[in-house]
Amino acid sequence: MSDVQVYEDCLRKFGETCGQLGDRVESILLYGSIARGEVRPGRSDVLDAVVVLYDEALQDERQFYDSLEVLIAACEDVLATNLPFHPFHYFSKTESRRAYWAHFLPVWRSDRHSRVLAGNDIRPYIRSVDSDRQFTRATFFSCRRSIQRMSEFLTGEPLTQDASRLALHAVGWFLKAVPKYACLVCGIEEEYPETLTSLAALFPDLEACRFEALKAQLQEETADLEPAEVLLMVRNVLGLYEELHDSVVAWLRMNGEWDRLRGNSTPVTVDQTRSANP
Amino acid sequence: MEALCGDAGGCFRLGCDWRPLLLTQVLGIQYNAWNSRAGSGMIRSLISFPLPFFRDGLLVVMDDDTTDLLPAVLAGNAQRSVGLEVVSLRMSELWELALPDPFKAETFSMPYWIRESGRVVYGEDLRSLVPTSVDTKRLLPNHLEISTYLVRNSLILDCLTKRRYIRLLEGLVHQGNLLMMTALLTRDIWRVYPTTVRAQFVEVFSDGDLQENLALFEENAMRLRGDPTRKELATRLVWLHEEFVRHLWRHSG
Repeated sequence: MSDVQVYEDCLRKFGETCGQLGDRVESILLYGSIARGEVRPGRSDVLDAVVVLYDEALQDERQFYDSLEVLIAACEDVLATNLPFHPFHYFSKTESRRAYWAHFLPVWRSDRHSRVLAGNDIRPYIRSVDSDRQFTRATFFSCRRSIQRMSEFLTGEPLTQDASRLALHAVGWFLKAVPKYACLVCGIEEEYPETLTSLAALFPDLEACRFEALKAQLQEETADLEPAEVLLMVRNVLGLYEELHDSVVAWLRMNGEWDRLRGNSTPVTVDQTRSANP
Repeated sequence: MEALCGDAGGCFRLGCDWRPLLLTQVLGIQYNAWNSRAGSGMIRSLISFPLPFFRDGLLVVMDDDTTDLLPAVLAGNAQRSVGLEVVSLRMSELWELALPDPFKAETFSMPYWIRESGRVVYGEDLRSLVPTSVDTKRLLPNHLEISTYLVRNSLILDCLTKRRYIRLLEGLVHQGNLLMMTALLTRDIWRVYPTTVRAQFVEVFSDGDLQENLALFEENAMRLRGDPTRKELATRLVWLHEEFVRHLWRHSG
């Protein structure tokens, strides 16, 4: 059996187990490498998926326990394969129509990045709460603090195996999320890896090829990377973000977007706030 | 080392021996290192602050003519290594502090803590220039949305599948506390601590269903702590958390 076949079998088993949910399922969507048909055996997560249930399945207590039992069983099936795995998402129909995190909308609305495994094609109807678009647009700036936190890996001490794994995970997150936020704040709704092409077009002076280089490094056998190489990647990420930050600010100013963005983010002063102690 | 620390009661104290170390590290070795780099700017201000839901922090504000912020970011490592949250930015970038970081809900109230409880340890007092959140009313629905997205897969399904019920319980309590913190922020109440958030929340949100939900959660949590292998108690807690989230949606406007 080929390695890809193992993924396909896992997917089939997942579909069968979720079939026990019967008419409580409105839709099951896949996204990520499986949906794109780009599985890299041993590296790709086996199941980037979301199960959308009719509201009663999550809001009626008895149905909730039954549904949860099936979802746990589906997770256990996948876990037993020992393939790279994180649990899938689940939502009610109403939640998917109004409160789906905008961060993931570009993936889920795209034919290239998602596909329907079972049930209805609900992708055109998936929405976030009204304020989320603005919130997510500003995430490019607010996530700077999360990125700066990555410098915790650069303590001067050699990385342990666990720390190395966490650092690589953080670098992977950076590569997928930050270019997406940079595109979004500049008005482009795009998903990784297309975001890297868009970045190169938006910021020709940034040497966007450095993002591609990072991507290539992550696609190699990361288990073979020396701790020093991982640390260098983290350092590159910190530097890349700061350069990208300055490029984005310059772009927003040049295109008349800066004041609009800042205007939507005009802070209030603390005099208008109060504190309350228990 | 007695570092900058906030105790469980929320009192923020400065240990007597941390300051010289901080000044040596930040203003001595690293300060020289920063300024030896072409294009590096000068430190404008260092402000320490408590952040009760996460860890105490240090705000590093650089001059606007700092062409490369990376040395300032890296210079914060000595403080990170003793468990401080370090935020580095330029003077003109202070506005970014008002933007909530969706990946760290624990920091949503950070600008309030800097302004109201921060201590200037070097340079100018810029606390009054630190902005607070744009529109706290919008924060709750956004937090509910993100929390729903993240909690169900990376906490609920993960822990139930691996039968880690106490970890699930602790995670749900933490996430519930964070949601309460944000809900209180929508009422302009930010001086909130993990040890007090529940009492403050119950006082402000006097909705009977909500309070009953919290009481049931606590009762079942106690039973699970007494017998950590009981899956039905764990799934009951998940249900109660989901109910709690639905109640909060109704309060989110």
